[in-house]
Amino acid sequence: MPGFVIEYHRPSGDRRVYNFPGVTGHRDALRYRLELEDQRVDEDWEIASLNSDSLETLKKTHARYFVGRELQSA
Amino acid sequence: MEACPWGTNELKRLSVHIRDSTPPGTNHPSYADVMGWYNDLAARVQQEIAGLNWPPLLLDRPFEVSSRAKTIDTLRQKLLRDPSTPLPSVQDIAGVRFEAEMSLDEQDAVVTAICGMYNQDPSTVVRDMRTVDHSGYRAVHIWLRLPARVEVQVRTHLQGLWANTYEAAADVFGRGIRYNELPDDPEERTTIARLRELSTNSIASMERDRNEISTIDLTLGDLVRNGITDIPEEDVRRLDELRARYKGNEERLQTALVQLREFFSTLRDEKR
Repeated sequence: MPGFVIEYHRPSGDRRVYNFPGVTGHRDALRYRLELEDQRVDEDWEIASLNSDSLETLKKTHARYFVGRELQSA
Repeated sequence: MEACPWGTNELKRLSVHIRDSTPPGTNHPSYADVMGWYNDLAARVQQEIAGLNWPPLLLDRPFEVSSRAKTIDTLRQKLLRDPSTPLPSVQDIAGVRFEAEMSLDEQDAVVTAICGMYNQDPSTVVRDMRTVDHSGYRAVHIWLRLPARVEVQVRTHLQGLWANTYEAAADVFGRGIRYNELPDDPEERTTIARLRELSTNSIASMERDRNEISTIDLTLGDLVRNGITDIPEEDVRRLDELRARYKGNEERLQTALVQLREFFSTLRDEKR
């Protein structure tokens, strides 16, 4: 199942999105989410890993994360 | 499905570690392993739900389904809000979301289908928040009892649209608005009250109309399929009236949501 990691800045709505394709994508995404949680210094940045067939689906079911600007992924 | 590999006491000890942000202990499983297990469970339930035979119920309308393991922030907040709830009793560590453009009756049928697939009794596992809302939030949740708990949120598109708008408001005004708290600022309080009213009055009313449209459509369709040409005029008039009202309400709802999003955007720009 494909997975996605979203770093979302709650006050501004800015986000970074990381795509993990393939059947193990959801596991890869969770592993990356846990890495980012370990490195996080600002708790205003929410870090979510989401499982979905496509980013378009997440833009509907989790539209909240897509209201602001998309920043360049690290 | 495989049983949860950890005992209740091990997970309780992990709960304390997460809640209090203490260094990890040696007498409980790692946070990473547990979240990985719940994430696999959520993904599996998502796939099983997506694989159900939906066309007989939703016809050619698409649906969206996604899943996730709860974020560390919301998990810690939950454990802090309710310290007596140990990790295995948190309902939504594994969460699945199902959304579609559907009537209230179709939403009920979706819930029944999901409960049936997992052999769960709807009278004990379904939380219907459409008539008794939670801070304006309306949806139907299924609290599945599998090897661990899984929450499946079943939402119409309008319920989902509102919920995401309200979550965005919570990012601007504080997450307390999700638990019936209100901001101190009068303009912000008015905004929250307006948002809740959109859900409990406007959207709820639109969904009742949508349901009636669907019911009359089905009835008239049956008449046509059975070769009956004498279609009741009052049904046709009622259908036209409902469709016109729905269209007008939909336009007003979109306008209101655009205004709210612009207001949030202004507040966000101030914080950037």
